[in-house]
Formats: sequence, C-alpha cells, structure tokens
Amino acid sequence: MNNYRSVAIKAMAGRDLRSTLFSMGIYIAIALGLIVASIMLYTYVGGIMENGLDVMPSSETETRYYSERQQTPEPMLGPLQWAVYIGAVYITLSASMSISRERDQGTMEVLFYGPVDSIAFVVAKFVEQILAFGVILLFYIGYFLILSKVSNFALGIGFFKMLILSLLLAGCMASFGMFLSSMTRRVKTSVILFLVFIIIFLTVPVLHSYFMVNFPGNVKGVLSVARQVTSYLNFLVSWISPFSYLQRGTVAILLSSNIEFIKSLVFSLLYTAVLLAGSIFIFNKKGVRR
Amino acid sequence: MIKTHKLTKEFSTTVAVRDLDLSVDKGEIYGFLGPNGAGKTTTIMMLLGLEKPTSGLIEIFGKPLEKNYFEIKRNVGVVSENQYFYDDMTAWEYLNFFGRLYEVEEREKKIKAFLERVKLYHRRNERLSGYSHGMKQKIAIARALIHDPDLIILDEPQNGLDPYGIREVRDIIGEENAKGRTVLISSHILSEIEQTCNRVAILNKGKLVAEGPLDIVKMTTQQHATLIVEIENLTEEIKEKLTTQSYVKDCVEENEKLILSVDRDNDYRSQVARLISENGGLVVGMQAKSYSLEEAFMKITDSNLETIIKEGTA
Repeated sequence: MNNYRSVAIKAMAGRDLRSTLFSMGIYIAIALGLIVASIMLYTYVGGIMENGLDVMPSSETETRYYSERQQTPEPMLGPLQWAVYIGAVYITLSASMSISRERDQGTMEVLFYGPVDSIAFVVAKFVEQILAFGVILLFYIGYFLILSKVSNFALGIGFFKMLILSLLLAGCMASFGMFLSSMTRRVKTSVILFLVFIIIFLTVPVLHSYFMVNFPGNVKGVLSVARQVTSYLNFLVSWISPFSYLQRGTVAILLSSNIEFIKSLVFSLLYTAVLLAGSIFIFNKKGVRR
Repeated sequence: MIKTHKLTKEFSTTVAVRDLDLSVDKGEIYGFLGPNGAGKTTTIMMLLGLEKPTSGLIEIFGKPLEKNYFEIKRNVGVVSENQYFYDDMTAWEYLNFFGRLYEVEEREKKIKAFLERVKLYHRRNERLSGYSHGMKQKIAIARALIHDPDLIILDEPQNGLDPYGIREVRDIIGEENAKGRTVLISSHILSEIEQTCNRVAILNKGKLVAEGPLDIVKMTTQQHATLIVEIENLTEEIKEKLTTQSYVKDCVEENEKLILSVDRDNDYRSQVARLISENGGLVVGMQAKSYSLEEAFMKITDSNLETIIKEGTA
C-alpha cells in the first residue's frame, strides 16, 4: 500500500480509537457482554448443581476427555459466543455511524483537504473498529481466564477457535456497518438503517424456524406461501447477515470440523472484502461534502 | 502553481463553473472574488479533488491532481469557509492529529509555535467545543499551515473575525507569502483583498469576468478615466476649450472643480494642464480618481454591465 496512505490510515485510526476509548459506549458493550456471559454460566452451573453433577475435573483432564471423543462441550463457549455477539453488535452500530458522522459534522471534508483518499478513509475506519473489538475481546479473555481459574472450567481449543472466529466476525460486522454508513449522509439515518437490518436479521431466522417446526409437512394456501417466502428470505439472510458467519463458524467448532471452520473463516474474509469494496465505491459516488 | 483549462462543473440543474481558465503563479497572493453562488467554492473544491469536474483540466505544481494525489495534497494547506472540528479534541490534540497526518517533523515544537502565534497557547488543553468562532478560525489557520505547505488556499479566512483577528490573519498571510508561499484567497472582504493580493480573478455566475493585476482589473471596469482639476480663474472659455478636445468625453463643474472624463488610452494630465494655462487659468491641483476594488467588483458582477465591460476591455 502507498506509504502516504498508510500514514493517513494510522493517524486516522489512532484518533478514532482514542475517541472510542474515551467514550462510554464501548464500556457499556463490554459490561453487557460480561453480564450476559455470567448469567449463562450461572445457569449452566445451576443446572449441574440441580442434577447433582458436582464432579469438577481439572481443565487438563476435561480437555483430554473431550478431545479424545472429538467433542467440544466447553461450558465457556456459549457465554463467550453471546458476549461476542453483543460486542459485535456494538461494533456494527459504531461502524454504521463512523462514516456518516464525519460527513454529517463536516470533519470528513477537512480530512480530505489533506493527504486522505477514500481508500485510506474507509480502511482507517475499518481498522479502528477491529482495534476497538480487540479491546473488547481483551476484556472478555481476561474475564474468562479468571473464571476458568476460579471455576476450574477448561478453556479448550474451541474457546480459542471462537476467539479467532470472533475477530473475523468483527470484520464482517464492521464492514457491514460501514457499508450502511457509506450510503447515508446523516447519523440518524444510519442508526435507523442499522436497526432495520438488525431486526430483519434476527426475526427472519426465528420466523423460518417457526414455520419449519410448526408446519413441517404438506401445507396449502397462505401458510405454504409464507413458509416458502421465509425460507427464501432465510437463505438470503444467511448470506448477507454478518451474524450467520459467526453461526457457521460456531457450528463448525461444535462439530470439531476443521474444514468447515476454515471455510467459515474464508467466507467471513470474502464477505468483509466485498462490503469494504462496496463501501469505497458508494463513498466515491456520494462524495465528501455535507 | 495552479492552472486550470476550460474547467467546467455542471450540476443537474445549473452550471456552477464554466470554461474557467485560471493561472496562479508561484509566490503570489491571488484573490479569488465573486458574489455568493459565483462558483468560487466549487472551483476550490475541484482544485482539491473534492468535486469532480464535468470537463477541463487542473494542474497543481505543474502536475495533474489525480495522478499525484498524495504528493500534491501533502503540500497544500486549506482553510475552508465553514468550520468543521472534532469538538471532543483540545486544540493541541487537534493540531497534533493533523501533524501526524502530514508527518510533520518536530511536531510539538511547531504546534507550540503556531499556538503562540495565534495567541492560543494558554488555552491549548481546552476542548475545541468551548472555543469561540474567531478562536476556531485561528486553529483552522494553524492546522492549514502546520506542515509548511507551498500552496495555501483560504476560503473566507477572515469570516467572523474581529478587526484584531482580521489583522492577525492578514499578517500571517503576509508572513507566509514572504517565505515564498503561494496564497489563493477567496474573500468577501474586498478591502482585505485589496491590501493583500497581487492579482485577482472575479467570477460571476460561474464565468471568469475579470482577471489580472489588481490595478488593471480596477481600470477595466471604467470606460473613461476621471480627472478632478482644481483651477484658479476658471472661465467658460476654458470649459469650452476642454469640451472640444477629442479625448475629453465629459466636463462637469462641481464645487469650483472640473470633473473631466477622458479616454483611458493615454495620460492626458499634462495636456489638460497646458490647455488651462494657455487660456488664462491656473491649475492648483489635479488628481486622477482611483476606483476601489469594491466599486470595480460591484460593477463587474452587475450582470447588466457585463456587456459594457466587454466593450471596455476590447
């Protein structure tokens, strides 16, 4: 990459990261993630206690036991996955405002008076989101390490795979948010767009499952059409929703399928690259000025 | 330093800039004038690559912008008409950020020097959200100069400044120009342009209607030069003699002075003085009326007079 461009990316990403770290949003996201993870773990431990299964093997024994059986029922995996979801939603929201906020307040124009072009600008915003997610992840890792020490629950290979996957998920989420942001001129519009898509991404799979579970056989009329439509929508969402990329990876981890895991990583990277390129394209079309 | 050839920008319903040929030479202070909506800011945005021209060419430092984008942009400093700041930053952080962006050497030393120069060093750790309009404008100027650019583009730099601020900005422009830097200023404060610029261009409705050294531009608005002559022993005969001269277009007596409109093709002062003296009068004072840039500007940008200007300059 052009050296001047990398200097610009470094300077802008640094400024944005500093601004993020000095704002409340990221800490609220971290706290929410940790609360949800704690509740899930608490429920898990409660379940064990209720069933009288209070045998607590050491982390090492547990890992060996499950890896010999090609299974990964790591108790930390689910809580981490939900914490990652929350962190990723924060990143998407933050990314969806990143471009439109600068355009809205006019600071983008001032940046472009200097040695900044659309590629440098979009990449800097992306790098900042990934770094911010890295900070969130550091908090999570610290928390789960402490929990592992205290509870003696193992942090197995699945946990670390999930960490790698979550970084790529953050890439998907950030690029998706930035894609939305590049399309709008106002922060308000970006946030509305973000909420609309999040609602679609969350409700379509639920609706699809509802129809598949409750009407599995031959149905006719409106129900058939509704089931078919949700099925198509679900297929679409499974490719455009960044969440589905984490889902694919998580399934691969749970099935201990390295091939599926690597495939999910490649898909995530492709998704990120396509949306970033799209963001740059739309950004160039929209222009820099308010 | 800056060259445009047939630069045109069309929006869906209007033509903002039409066939603009500009040429700003190295080391000059170039005034860029025009009424609101004349196309000044659009031209500046095109020069900076923020607006894509519909057609035409732009060269900065003798190179096309699109092929030398970073190289050119790192050597240009810009103050815009509007103030856009990261309000969560302090003045120091803001300048430091732009210093990093431009890879300024001895950054802290330079920031300190600039903040002292605009008398805001003591407020360096305050957030920009608490700064007044004038203070923000000074920070914007410091930001535009922090990397020692060879070309400085100022779009209404004195907007909202008090007389002290206006003077400070004028001094800064002068100092930077003395270091050999080229300055392009777009401003509504014509008296400032008159005091600082070597050459001016006047844009109206997207078209360049006058361009050149300040004095010439002022002159081009006048069909005739005006001489104000103070005469002792002014007689009707003197007036008649003057009126019959081919170069005299009009002769009016006003408060014991003669106001003569004469052709602009020559300096007729000595001929007028001689004629008066030959006819028994005594010239005790004579001055050529000088037109201010404001008068010239008003005349040039008045659409009804466009044709007159063309005739006058032909």
